[in-house]
Amino acid sequence: MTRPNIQIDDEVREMTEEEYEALLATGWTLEGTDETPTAD
Amino acid sequence: MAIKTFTTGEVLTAADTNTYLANSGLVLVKQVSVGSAVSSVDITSCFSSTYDNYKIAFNGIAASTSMSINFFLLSGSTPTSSGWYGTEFYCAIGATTWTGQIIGNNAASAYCSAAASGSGLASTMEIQSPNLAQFSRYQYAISATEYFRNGYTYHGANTQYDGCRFTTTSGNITGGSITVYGYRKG
Repeated sequence: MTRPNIQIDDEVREMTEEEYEALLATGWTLEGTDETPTAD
Repeated sequence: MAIKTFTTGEVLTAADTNTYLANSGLVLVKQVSVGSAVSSVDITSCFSSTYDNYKIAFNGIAASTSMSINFFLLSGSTPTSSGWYGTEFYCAIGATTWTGQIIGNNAASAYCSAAASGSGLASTMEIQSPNLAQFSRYQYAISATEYFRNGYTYHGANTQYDGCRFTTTSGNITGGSITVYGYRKG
């Protein structure tokens, strides 16, 4: 599976492994079930 | 009350124009067009000593799934890793009961927007003091798709930041824009 894209100002590229791990650490999931997931 | 009322045929002078520019309220600082299927958007160099207060507007953005948007402040390319405190109140569409939830308790980020697939993402948030050596604070109100939501936060560090990052809690966003405005000091 490809990693999600990251945008920095006008540049869009695929996340690095490190950036993807940081996103996953926020609790990110590919599919959401609710607009108000419980915060940490 | 108007600074000056012009009449038909009157010449708009440079002095009048400069007066109106100098007395405008919100000033466009930076606008980013959201790319295709992005889960994180950084807006760099948008906070400075020119303005103390800012408004950020999300418009015309498509969401791939139900999501909230997290907000981080940036120092260069380094995001906040802790320090956010916040509470949000939400009410399901068609209901009248507001529920509170903690959205940050020394967290790396806090919510600032939300959307569901197929209905678009559009909201605004107000930020105070991101580039001052004092606490940064923001508030948001969202007429999202599944809920109405409003939240209040602060970042408990006397740190100056020059940019911000938005990440999705799930999926990605495409299209539309994120615009940063500054409130003219006077």
